[in-house]
Amino acid sequence: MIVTRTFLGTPPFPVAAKAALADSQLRSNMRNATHTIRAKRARVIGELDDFEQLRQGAADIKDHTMSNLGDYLLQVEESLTRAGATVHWARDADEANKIVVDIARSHKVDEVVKVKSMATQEIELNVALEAAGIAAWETDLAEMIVQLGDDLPSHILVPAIHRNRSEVREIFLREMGKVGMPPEADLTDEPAELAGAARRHLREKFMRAKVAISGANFLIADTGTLCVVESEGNGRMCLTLPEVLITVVGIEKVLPTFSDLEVFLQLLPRSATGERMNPYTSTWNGVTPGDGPQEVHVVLLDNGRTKVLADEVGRQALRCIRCSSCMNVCPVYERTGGHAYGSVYPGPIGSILTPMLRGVGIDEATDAMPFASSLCGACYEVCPVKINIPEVLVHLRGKVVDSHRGGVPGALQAAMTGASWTLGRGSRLALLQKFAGVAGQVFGRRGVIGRMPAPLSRWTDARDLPVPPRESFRAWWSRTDGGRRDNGSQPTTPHKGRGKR
Amino acid sequence: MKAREEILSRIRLAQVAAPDHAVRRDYSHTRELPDVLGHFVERVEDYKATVIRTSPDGVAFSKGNPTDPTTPALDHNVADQLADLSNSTDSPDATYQAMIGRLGVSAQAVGRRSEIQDAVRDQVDTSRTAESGVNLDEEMTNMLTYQRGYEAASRVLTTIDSMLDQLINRTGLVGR
Repeated sequence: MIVTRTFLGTPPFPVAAKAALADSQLRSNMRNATHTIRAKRARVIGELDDFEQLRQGAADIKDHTMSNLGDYLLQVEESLTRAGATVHWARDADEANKIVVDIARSHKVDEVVKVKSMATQEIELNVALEAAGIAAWETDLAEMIVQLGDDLPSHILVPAIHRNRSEVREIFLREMGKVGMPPEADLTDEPAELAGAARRHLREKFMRAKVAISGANFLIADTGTLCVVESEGNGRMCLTLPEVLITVVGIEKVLPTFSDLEVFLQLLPRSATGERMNPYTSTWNGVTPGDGPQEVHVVLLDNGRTKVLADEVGRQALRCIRCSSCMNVCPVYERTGGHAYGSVYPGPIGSILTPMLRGVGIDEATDAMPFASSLCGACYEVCPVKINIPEVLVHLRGKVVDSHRGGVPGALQAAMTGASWTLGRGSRLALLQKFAGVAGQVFGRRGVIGRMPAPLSRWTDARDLPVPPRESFRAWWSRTDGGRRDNGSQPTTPHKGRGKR
Repeated sequence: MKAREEILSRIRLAQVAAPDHAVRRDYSHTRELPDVLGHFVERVEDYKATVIRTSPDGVAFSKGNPTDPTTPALDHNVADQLADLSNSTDSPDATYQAMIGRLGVSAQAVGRRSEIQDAVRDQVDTSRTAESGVNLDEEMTNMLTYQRGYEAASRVLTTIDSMLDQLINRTGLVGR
């Protein structure tokens, strides 16, 4: 049986990013992948002359839903129950896992097939199923590569973005035979052949499985319709072939009416894969006698979402439709890949969503996430639901700092307190500048300050520091009365040219 | 139902003073598609489909050329041939029927083979049961036989022992 790895205990971002940056193969894989999808997205978004209005509409619909979430959830429950589905509520991951495991157990199965789903990744359902002796087979191609390769997902849409095709071939040849139908021995790394091998391997599982587990992209309140958007057709097989279907869906996925899909189905495929429309869009309402699954369960998952809702700045993150366009444009993500973030939600959206779902001030890795950004704002530009990610990042940075107040102040806090004391009064700053001017002449060689000892070396290892001028602007102003009495007797900087170290 | 109540109350608490938003729906509700066919072709080609373009004139329904006065009148002979395709021996219909027929025969053959295999398996099962089953009378008889055999063997050993004793201790006197 495959042992599922989790993100538990991964090092915080700065440590993990350093390792990731050293991997030049990973960097080139990531650069190619993100640039390709970025260009495709830009092309198809450019075709919509009302993109701005669409994303405003999408943001408004989501905001309206979030302000009436309780009512819409009750409506969802009512319409789903009317359609013959069973609705379960789960406060946290453990509760959701228990519900799913109990349903699977009650059907005495030892395996289930899964559609790619971020919600089930988030609650680590595969681990829980495994502990109960039930094998969970991922049927999304990329997700299957990750599962077979005993790896972690690094992107929410294309979890195997960090693998190239020869690596995929190796994984297939090595692992597929152990868990089901093996590929042909002469498998090449042609994408079509790899897909063929995966298709044969999966078909056998689809035909056998009695229970399927899915997520949902949208959950429509007025009709009780669940909607899954995908590109491979594996989802549709999971949703139609097995006898029992369990859908785990976050409570923020609700949309008020069926016609709201007109906005989101225009935005999601274009933002996610750069396609005008995705190949497979499946919608289903409860149970249809004689057709499809005869037992439909829906698990409404909270798992920290109400905490996000309570954060008046951060609640906009609940608009997220998991399109991943923020990852594809993020300069930080492009260079480090998804693993460094240490969360099932990597990239800019992960940097805000994960700390809010988990809570800040609890573990170091989560607290590092809001800082894993240059605040360039590219993610906000592309976000199809207008989440102001930089704003939330800054807000969360504040919260992380707040959560560490009290006790012995760290070096950063001491430095910041010192800075605020110095910069708070003009006379103090003038004193510092005088001191810096003198110190600069002592330490600076050739107009720059080179390597410095221990804590400061983290800056100077990669950069030169210009020498502070002998005379500060402030001193110059008071000496010359704003340039009116300038006799040029005192040079402002010792100009000896900027030599190379 | 405890989880349900708790989630709902958490939502109520979280939403204190959350303003309701009016939804702006000023996006286009229809899309202008002046050239539907062209649009379709462009889209399917985008998914790497091969589209062969042909005009209605390219599909002939008669061998006659309407622009040439020397050829006979238009008699729809090509259209007839097209229609006759459905009755020919290699028409899609016939091919499909043949395929279903072959499938049926194969299924029957496989079914029969499966029955034979079932019978063989039953036979083997019976043999195995016969082999592994325990008959108390038979085992008793076997045990008695082994018991007697053991007794006989032990009698032989005693005899040889006495013989050697006789030979070594009671025959001849040397070195005394």
